[in-house]
Amino acid sequence: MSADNLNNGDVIIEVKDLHKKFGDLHVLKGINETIKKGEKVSIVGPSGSGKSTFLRCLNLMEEPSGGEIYFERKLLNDKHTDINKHRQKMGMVFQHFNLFNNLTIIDNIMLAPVKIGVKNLRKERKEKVKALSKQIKALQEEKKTLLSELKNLLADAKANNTEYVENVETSDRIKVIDEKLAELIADKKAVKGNIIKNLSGDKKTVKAQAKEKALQLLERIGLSDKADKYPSTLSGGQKQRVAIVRALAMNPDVMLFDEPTSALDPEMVGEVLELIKEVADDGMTMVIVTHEMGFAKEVSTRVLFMDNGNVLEQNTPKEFFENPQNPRLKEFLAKVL
Amino acid sequence: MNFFKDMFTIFSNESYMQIFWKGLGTTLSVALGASIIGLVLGLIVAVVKIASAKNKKIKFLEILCDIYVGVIRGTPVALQLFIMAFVIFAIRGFPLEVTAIITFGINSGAYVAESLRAGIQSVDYGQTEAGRSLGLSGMQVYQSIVIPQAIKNVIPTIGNELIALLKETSIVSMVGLIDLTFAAKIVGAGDKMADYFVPMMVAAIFYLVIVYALTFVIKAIERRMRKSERR
Repeated sequence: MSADNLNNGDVIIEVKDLHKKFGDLHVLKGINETIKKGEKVSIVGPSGSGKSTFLRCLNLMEEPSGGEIYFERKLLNDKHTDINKHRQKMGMVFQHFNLFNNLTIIDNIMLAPVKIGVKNLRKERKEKVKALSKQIKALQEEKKTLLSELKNLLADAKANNTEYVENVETSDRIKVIDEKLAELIADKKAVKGNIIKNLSGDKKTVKAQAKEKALQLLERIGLSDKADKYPSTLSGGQKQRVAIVRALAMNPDVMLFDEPTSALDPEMVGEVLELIKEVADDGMTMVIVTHEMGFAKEVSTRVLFMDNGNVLEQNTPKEFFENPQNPRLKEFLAKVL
Repeated sequence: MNFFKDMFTIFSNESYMQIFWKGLGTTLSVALGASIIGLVLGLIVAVVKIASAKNKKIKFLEILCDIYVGVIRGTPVALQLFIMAFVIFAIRGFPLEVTAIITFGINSGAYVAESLRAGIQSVDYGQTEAGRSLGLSGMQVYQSIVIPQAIKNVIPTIGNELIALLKETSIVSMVGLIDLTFAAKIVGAGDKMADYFVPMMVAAIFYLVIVYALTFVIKAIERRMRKSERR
């Protein structure tokens, strides 16, 4: 980790010299980018410019071929990084929605919070037991040394034929240790017993919380009546809105949108953009790959133009669209606007 | 009219029917035991094969699975049964029925593995991506999203495999195990019969009834699984 991003507390994603190759195809050619908390960054550019690949590298859906990606100051493309833990904080929305076809709408939203919640609870418990065992072991060691000390004193007294004087301090300490040990062992037993006995209870609690949150989210997008329906019964716009709240259910710090409206019928684009705008207004940090120039202009705090694996220009939306500098960008905007 | 008379003779003769019931029991237990082994083995092999194709460190497992599937599918099941019964499990007192269950289990495992693998790969990769993007582990995604969808996709193929397995078990008569087919042969050679045609027909009826029942169950499961696709 470099010193400069340590000083800058606002930085949430930092990309350094990012390269991505698919075989001989060099898709990303050394991208440097810093995204701060609360920013809404739109990425536009022609097809094949690498913008989707860049976005997918941010949560390692694509493994970078070179360079570094930091998320919340942690190097992501490192063997020792637990990527699953970080992905929980990076929601992603896909072009083709990718709702889980075998699960109902509510289960789609609840799956990850429940699975990960239960897993974390188990881990927490295990760690608690481990810590207690460690404490118990340390105390037992101490008791052992103290006891051998006493034994030595007794042996010395016998050998020298002097009277054995009880070391009050040591025996008091042993008494304290014994008491504490009994306490810790009881604690450990209680926690350990809980693991087996209360696991189903824990699961129920986690599930109930996740369900409550999921219902709230569904209410927010006005699809409460679809909770027990399957994704195949939803329209494209509804599917994408569910996909967005599914990502929100994990309370992410960043949301990544990969062309969220490209696969939608024109009449459904509006409802999805509306929801994304709402999420943006709530202060979410967002990176959006999009072809909707009007939307990019309205929602983003910064717009990037990518072409041929490089970021050619970036600016505030107003400057970006009204006063483009790069000839490629001028050409692109002339075509799409 | 002889046909119906003979049929009646068989169904009313207790000792004949006893042979058929015994044969039916053998056929069903071999088929059931083998299909359980086959399904579990097939699922393991399919998952291992897909996992090892992506991970170079366990490449040897993929080769192992390929050899297993290749050898089993490349040799006749009758030969496999002979090898098991007369060489590998040629132990005095080792029940032939168990030998048959193991043989057919290993055999159908290879076929199940191939259809399951195809089923798993037919699940849209976007499903996996969506799961992983939420922070679920590869294992969790497999367990909750990919495998359930894959199983739904392969129910018809697996159903066919189970029906084929049931009928293939008739080969056990070649190593002297009394199944439905062998029972028909024994009855045909019985003193009141001296005719193979009618007992074979009786055996055929038994097989048909089982296959129809199995088909019915598979269809029902399929319908249940298709619930998520209904509009």
